[in-house]
Amino acid sequence: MKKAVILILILGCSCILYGQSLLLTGLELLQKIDENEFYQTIEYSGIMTIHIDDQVRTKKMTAQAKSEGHKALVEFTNPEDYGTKYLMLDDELWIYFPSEEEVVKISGHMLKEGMMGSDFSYEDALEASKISEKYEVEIAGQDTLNRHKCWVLTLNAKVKDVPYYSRKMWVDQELFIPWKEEMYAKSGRLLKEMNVLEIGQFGKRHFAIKSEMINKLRKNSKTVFELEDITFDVDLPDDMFGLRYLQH
Amino acid sequence: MKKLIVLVALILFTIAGLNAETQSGLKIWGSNFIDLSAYHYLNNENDSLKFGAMNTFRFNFQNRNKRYGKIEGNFDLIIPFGYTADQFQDLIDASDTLSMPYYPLFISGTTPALLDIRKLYVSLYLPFADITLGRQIINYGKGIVFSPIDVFSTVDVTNINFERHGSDIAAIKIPFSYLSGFDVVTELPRKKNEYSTALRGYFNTLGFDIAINTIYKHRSEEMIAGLSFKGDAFFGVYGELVEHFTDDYTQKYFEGMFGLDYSITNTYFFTSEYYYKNSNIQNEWGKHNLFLSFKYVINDIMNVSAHVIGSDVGGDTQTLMYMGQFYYNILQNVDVITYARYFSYKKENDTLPDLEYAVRIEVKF
Repeated sequence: MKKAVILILILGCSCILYGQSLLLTGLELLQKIDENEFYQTIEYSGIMTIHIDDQVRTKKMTAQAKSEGHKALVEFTNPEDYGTKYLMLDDELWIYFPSEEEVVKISGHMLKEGMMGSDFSYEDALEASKISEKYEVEIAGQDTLNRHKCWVLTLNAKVKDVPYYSRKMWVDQELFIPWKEEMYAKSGRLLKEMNVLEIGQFGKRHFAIKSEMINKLRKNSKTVFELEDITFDVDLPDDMFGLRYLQH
Repeated sequence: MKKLIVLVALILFTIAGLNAETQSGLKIWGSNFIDLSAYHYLNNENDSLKFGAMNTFRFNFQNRNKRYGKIEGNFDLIIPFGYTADQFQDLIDASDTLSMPYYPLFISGTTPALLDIRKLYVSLYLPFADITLGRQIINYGKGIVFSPIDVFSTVDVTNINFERHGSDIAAIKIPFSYLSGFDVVTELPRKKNEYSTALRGYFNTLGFDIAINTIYKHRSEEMIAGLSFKGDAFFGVYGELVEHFTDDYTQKYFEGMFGLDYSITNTYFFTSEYYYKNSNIQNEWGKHNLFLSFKYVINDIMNVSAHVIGSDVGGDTQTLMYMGQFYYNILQNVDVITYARYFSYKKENDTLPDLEYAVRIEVKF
């Protein structure tokens, strides 16, 4: 009887410690992801290929973003939208339409809407924040995705200021980059699915350079976002994230 | 004139071609769109239906490297045909050509060709200010249709996209911070015609963009003081409040515009504007004016919309315009817009048809 009690205690303690180690590992995993994905500043050229039913539309852009203050400036360079610019400062957004020299302040809730008709929201495309600071994490298991061994993580928001209430991630066990992500609303409804198609290496950092987003609330629609000429931690002057520069 | 335009176009295309893949030189882009229209006059039983067309070649250029400044041009070359040409000819005959936004280039039979120089300016970006000289669109207002604060580049409500025409100006824009600054804009004096000078301070607070404007109209010696705002309060909220001081400041009157916009799931868009003018001064607007707009986005390449613009709604001299549009981005760079407009008016000397049915095909390059 005594041996049985000791055995049960040992097993119980082991389970608790095993659970704690998983939680710690989950946090460590998120921190590893942040080491790859979080940046102080970034500059890139981007191509968005929007698939709507059997039609394809392409948007080209250049973007600069700064994590401090959630600042981003995007300028479209494809002929149809040439010179159209977006300025995001924290949760405020302005759009500049060059044809009419018009600067329009957009409602804050529009940050969650598709950027230029794509399946990527402004927050998806432009926001840089540490995921480990915003979500609680649980390791749900392991899986193999396109021959890549992945941790499957379940994330739940621990702060209000997040674009998605919960997420499920398939994180590469070697590169610490999510190959697949599902984004859910608070109700549990699947909102979006993102698949990383290509990963690039920048020094020690691995970063998704081609990904596709499927908005589950839209029918027959997906957007492939490809980044080119990426530069991290480049010196971006603060005054470029202002109304003056927007109209230049 | 014709040779000069061809020569300038040739030089610009050559420069652009030489610098197509670099970050210097000129960037050239634009579009060509044709409007095919049928005009329906319900009261004229013998000749109730007239047909016209209008081809617009829109040409834009600007320097690619904008570190120290910008040179920008935006021209519309318009060639109307049929009844649309007759309408333009009436406009040319009735107007002082210098006060029109369109320059008649040459007239062949009943086909005038018109040039609208919307922008042609040079800007110099100094560390403390931006200086601009030339023809520019000055967009101070917050309204889509009604904007009492916009004296330089007013909205053309006969344009289906509510576009503006340029003004010949000199401007200095001094930034104070990322979201605040001070502008001085003056129109270049023109013979006989009115010209204005404006001072504008703007800032952002509590999520609202706010601007305070002071405008002086030189010929009429009229002072205008105004405030405009745009922000979020569940709905998008925007407005303009303007006080006019005339006759050596002995007379004054008020104009106000208040607008709301809202969207549901990025699919249903609602916009409304109410504009009040407490004056009997005759211009295109009456005392009570209303703009209502609804757009349903079927998907990101297709939408339908309906707009209503009313002036002195409910009054004896009311003017109403209803417009329905179907927009289809049929190819990457090709848009097809079908639209119908109904003009209800009780003013005399109005040549607008009762109904207009039209299709616009636009190719962008």
